[in-house]
Amino acid sequence: MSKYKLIMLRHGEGAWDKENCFCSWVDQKLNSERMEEAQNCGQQLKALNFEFDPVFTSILNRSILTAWLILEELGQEQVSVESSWHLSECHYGALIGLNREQIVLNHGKEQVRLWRKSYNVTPPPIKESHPYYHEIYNDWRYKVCAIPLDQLPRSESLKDVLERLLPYWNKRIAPEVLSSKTILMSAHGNSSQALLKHLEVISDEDIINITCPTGVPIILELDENLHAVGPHQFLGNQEAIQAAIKKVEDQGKVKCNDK
Amino acid sequence: MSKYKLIMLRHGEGAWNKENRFCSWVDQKLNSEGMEEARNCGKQLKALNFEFDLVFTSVLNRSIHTAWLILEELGQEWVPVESSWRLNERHYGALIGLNREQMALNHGEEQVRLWRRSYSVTPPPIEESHPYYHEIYNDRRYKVCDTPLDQLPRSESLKDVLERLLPYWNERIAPEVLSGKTILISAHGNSSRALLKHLEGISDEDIINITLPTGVPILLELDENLHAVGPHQFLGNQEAIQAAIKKVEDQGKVKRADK
Repeated sequence: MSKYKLIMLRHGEGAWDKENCFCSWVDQKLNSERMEEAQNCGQQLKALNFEFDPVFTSILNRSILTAWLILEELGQEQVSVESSWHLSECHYGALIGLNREQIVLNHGKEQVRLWRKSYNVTPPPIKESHPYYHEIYNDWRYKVCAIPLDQLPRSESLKDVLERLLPYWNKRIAPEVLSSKTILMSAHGNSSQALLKHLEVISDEDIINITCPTGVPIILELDENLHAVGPHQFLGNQEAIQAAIKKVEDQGKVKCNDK
Repeated sequence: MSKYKLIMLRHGEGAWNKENRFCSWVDQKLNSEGMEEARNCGKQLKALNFEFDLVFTSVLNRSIHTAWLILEELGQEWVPVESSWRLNERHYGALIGLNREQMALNHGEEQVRLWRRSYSVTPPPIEESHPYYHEIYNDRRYKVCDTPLDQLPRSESLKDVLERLLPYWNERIAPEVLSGKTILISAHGNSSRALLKHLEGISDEDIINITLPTGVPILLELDENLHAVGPHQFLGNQEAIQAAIKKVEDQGKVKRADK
């Protein structure tokens, strides 16, 4: 029996998504199309009379700006926004910043698919020589985390994402849900996937096939034990949503001339 | 001996500033100039290498958007932002929405100056028949305050502003300052003035003559008892700041043809 509702969403694209690069922990900004996506998301939630309290985001600015744009549409800027690295996108290690098509050509579709879509296969770790290493780890936000800098991930599988997300869910978000607050989580593709896996009890094999479209509110109804009552639903025009899912799935497919 | 630093600021222009109307608790948006002021403020703070731990704002969106724009310039979007009605602009009661020039013509510059600039003179209270009454009090943000809706102000003097602000300063902000956190307060003309009066020990008579320019970071250095060590300072180009102060002071003066 549904007792609580939770809204989560995956922020829209940044510049690198268009270039088909793994953005991960690099703090790319939203582009103007995806800012509009966030605004549309906000308008949808406004039409459905959602009143949030509070909002959770990662510490990557694209998830925060998405939340801000949604709150602005709702006229709810004063709602508390809490940001944590626990909701950050999956850390793609050495693959960060690399173009997906190039990686596919070098390693094959299947290896890339495994890295992107398996549950517990971890990409190679990022090293100090990586062009984005210092940009990430020198940032002050990682010096004021609950975890010491040297213990933060250098690479993650989806399993790793869930392992670092779950304590945060249990300690910070779940109590808010249980006190009947209406929560919005503005997160990323993999961190949203990981949480859905946990709440909906999706198997390691099936989670690979779950794709979250960008900028679409995802509603999950939970029982008194915070288990999902039925599968998550996407709010909005269903045709447009299916097209958005397909667009995400097409990333990483090699464009071959013989197709 | 200076032990702590505090940065506060008064948000930039909204549409009503240009029309010379008392905005007060009406939730006007920043106009494009006001947004630009906020960004410039952020750039100045970035050039001075400020790293904020916590930002406090009122529940009025113009103070929140100002904070967001500053955090965006700093690349510190992830810093927690806490919003409270206790940092709101002064409640101008029945004068809300009225044009300052018209009021000065009707009541005289001196009466308007008294209402605007005295310490303990309260304007007439807002009544249900006021065009903005329901827009203000029907908003959810005032239903989830720490104070019941019917006990929220219907009009305030600067003294009243300090009386409702001080518990929030003592309970929420001061402990953060004392724990060594770098705090930004994004507030309003009168709520900033009230706080400065308290921290600097400014008399009831002298506070009338303190004008805060919009969009200029105000630095206050505090001792171990959170008393100001010296007067507040405006950060930035001093000539531009003086011009900005004069602009604010000129609001409310009647434009006469014979001048």
